Amino acid sequence: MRVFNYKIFFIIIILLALLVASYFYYIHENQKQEILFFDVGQGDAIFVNLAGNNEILIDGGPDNSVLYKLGRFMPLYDRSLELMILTHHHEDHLFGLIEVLKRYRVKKILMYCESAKENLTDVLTEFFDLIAKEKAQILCAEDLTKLDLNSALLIMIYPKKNCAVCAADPGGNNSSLVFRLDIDQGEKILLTGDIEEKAEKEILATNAPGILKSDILKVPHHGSETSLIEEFLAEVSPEKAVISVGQDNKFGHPSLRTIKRLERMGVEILRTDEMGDIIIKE
Amino acid sequence: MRSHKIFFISALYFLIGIGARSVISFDIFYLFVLALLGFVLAIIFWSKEKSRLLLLGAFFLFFGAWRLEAALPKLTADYLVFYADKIVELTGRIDREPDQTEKYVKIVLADLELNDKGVLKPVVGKILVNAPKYGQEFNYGQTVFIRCEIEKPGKIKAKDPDRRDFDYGHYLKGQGVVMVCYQPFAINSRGITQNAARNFESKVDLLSKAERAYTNLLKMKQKFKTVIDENMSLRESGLLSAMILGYRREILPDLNNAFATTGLTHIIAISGLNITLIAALLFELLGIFGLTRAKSFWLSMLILFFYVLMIGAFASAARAFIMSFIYMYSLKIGRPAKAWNLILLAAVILLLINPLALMFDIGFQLSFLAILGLMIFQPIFSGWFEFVSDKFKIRSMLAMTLSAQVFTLPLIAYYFGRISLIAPLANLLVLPTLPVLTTIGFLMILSGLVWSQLAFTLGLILHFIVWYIIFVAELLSQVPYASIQL
Repeated sequence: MRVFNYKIFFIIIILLALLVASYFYYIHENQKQEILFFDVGQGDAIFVNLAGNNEILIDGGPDNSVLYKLGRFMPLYDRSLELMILTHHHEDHLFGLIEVLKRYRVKKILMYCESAKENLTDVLTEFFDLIAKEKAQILCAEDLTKLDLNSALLIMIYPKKNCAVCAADPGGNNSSLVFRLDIDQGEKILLTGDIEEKAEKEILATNAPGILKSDILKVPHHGSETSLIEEFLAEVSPEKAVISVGQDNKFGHPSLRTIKRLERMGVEILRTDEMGDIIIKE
Repeated sequence: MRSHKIFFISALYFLIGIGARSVISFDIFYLFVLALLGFVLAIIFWSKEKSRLLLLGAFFLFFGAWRLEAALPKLTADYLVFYADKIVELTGRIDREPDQTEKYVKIVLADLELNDKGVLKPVVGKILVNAPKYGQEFNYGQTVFIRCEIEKPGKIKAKDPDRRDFDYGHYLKGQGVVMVCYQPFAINSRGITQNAARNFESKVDLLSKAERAYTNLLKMKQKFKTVIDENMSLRESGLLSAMILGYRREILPDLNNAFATTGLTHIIAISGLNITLIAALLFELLGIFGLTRAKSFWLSMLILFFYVLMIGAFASAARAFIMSFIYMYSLKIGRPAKAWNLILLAAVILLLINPLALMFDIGFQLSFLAILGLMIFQPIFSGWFEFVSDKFKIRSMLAMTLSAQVFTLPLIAYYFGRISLIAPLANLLVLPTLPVLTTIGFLMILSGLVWSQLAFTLGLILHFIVWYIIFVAELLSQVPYASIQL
C-alpha cells in the first residue's frame, strides 16, 4: 500500500510554511499593549501584555482555564512569561499557575516570601517544586519597592517586612500583594489580590498619601463585603473598577454594598461574570 | 472442509456464545447439556459434514458462554459489590496508567485485599478511586491503601438537558471496574498503614519484568506528552495528545461537542486510519535506513505493538493492530487472509482477553461495526458515486465515510441520542489532513527528546493544521441541522 504521495506532501509543507511566515509577519506588525482580566470563574487571573514580548501573569485562577486563555492571547511562538506574580496562596489564585509552570518557561516569580513556607499545602509544595525545576528566579515582594519592567514600572505597596497583619494569616487574604502598575504613556492600575479591611487600614496607615491613586482598580477579594472600605476607595479614586468573579458563586460575591459604594463614587464597573474577558487596550 | 471455513465457524459461534450469555442470563449447565447432546448426535452422524459442523458450533458456543461466565463475578462476600455503601479499607495495585484530570488523579485498583477486622482477605472486582492530584505520586504498579465509602457507579447527569445522561456504570463495567470511591477518607500510595501491615517495599520489587517494561513505556509516554504540552497551546495540544497518544480527556469540552455534532469524534480515537498510516510510515523509514523488507516488517510491527500498548491498547487500536499485522503477515507468506476471518480473529483475541467488551465497551462495538460497514458497503457506495470525480480521492473518501457509518450510526444514536447530518462533508474536509498531522506529530514528539528547537518548529506548523481541523469542526457545528437530537 502506498500512503505517501511525496509531491503533494511537499506542496502541503511549503504552503504551511508560507502560512506560518505570514502569520508571524502579521503578529509582528500588530503588537499591542493590553491588560486582560481573564474570565476564569471564581478567581483571579490577570495578564499584562507589554511591548517587546514582555508578559506578566498575575495569579492563575482556580483551574486550567487560564491556559486556554493564554493559548488564545499569546503569540504561538512565545512559550515564555517574563514575570509571574502570586498574590497569595489561596487556590483560586494559585491553582492555574501550576499547569502554567509546567507548560511555559517562566523567568521570574514575584511573591511574598516571609510566610511562604508556612501552611504548606500539597498544591503549594508542587508549586515550589516546579519553580525549583524551572530554575525561575524568585523575587520577594517585601524586599522591593520598585521593579522596572522595561515599558512599565511596578510599584510595590504591600506587604512590607515584618508585616504583623500578614503574620496573623500566613498566605491568606490579608497577606496579598498590593502593587501599582504604571504603564509607560498609559494607565495606572492598582492590583490588590484578596486584601480585606485589616490590610487596607494597614496600607493607609503606613504609606504616603497619593501612592494608591490609580486609573483602574482591581477590586479586592472579588468584591466581597469585607473588603474595599470607603477610605481606601477614596484614596485610589479610580475611573474604572474590575471585579473578577464567577457567575452564581457560592460566596455571593460581589456584594451589593461594594457595588453601591463604587457607583456612588461614579466608578465604571467591569465584571468578568457579565463581560467575560475584560480587555483594556493601551 | 477448508481450514479458513472451520476457523470462520468456530470464531463466529464463539462470539455468539459470548453475546448470548451477555444478553440472556441462563444457567450455563443447560448449555453444557445442549453441547453434550450435540456431541452425541455428531458422533452418531459423523459421516455427514453438517453434523461435524454442528459439533464444532456447539463446542464454541459453549466455550464463548463459559468465557463470559468466568468473567462475571458472583455476588458473594468475596465480591467487592457486596460492600457497596459501606466504609471499607482496601489495598490494591494500580492496574493501568493513572488518568490525570483537572482536579484528581483517577486510578483503578486491582488485586484488592479487604481489611476484614484485621484480616486481609482478597476480593474480586476493581475499583476506581479519585486520588488527590498533588502531594502523592500515583504510578502504574504501585500499591495503594484507601479507606473509603465505596459506591456503585451510576448515571452521570448531562449538563445540557437536551443531552442523554451518560451511563458511567455501564462504561466502567466494560473495564472490569465495579465500584467507585469518589472521596477517600484516607489514601496512601506507600501502601503501609497501621491497620494493613504489609511490607510495601518488597511488593514494589515484585513487579514482574513485563510490568517494569510497561512502567518504562508509560514513562516514555509521559515524556512525549510533555513535549506536546511544552510546544503547543492548550486546545491544540489537547487535540494532538488525544490523536497520537490516546489522551482523550485532554480535549476541551466545547471542542468535543463540536466533534460530536460534526461526526468527527472518530478522528480522536486511534484506529485503523492511524495504525495503518504509522505502519506504512515506519516501514518506509526503516527502508530508508537500509533494512531489508523482512527486517523492516518485523521491526515496524514490534514498534507498532509497543505503541498500541503504550496508548493503552483500547479496542479500536488493538483491533487495527491485530488485523493489519495478520494481513501483512499473510501477504508475506503468500496466502492473503480473508477479510471476514481477519475481523473475526481480531474480535476473538480481544474477547478472550476481555469478554465484557462485547457488551460494555462502546469503543469495541463502534470499531468493529465501522470496519464491517467499510467491508460490506464501500464497494457498493463506490459504485453509486461513479458520477463523483475521484480527483483528490474525493469519491473513495466519500464512500469510506458513508460506509463506515452504516452500522455505527444506529449505535451512536442509541448511546448518545444524536445523529450528525453534516458528517460526510466534515470528514471530507478533515480526513486529508490526518496523514500530514500524524506524520508531523510523531516527528515532533520524537525530535522533542533530542532536539527541542526542531520540536518547537514542528509544533508551530502543527498549530495550523490543528486550527484548520478545529475551524472546520466549529464552523460546521454552527450550521443549522448539523446534527439532530433524537
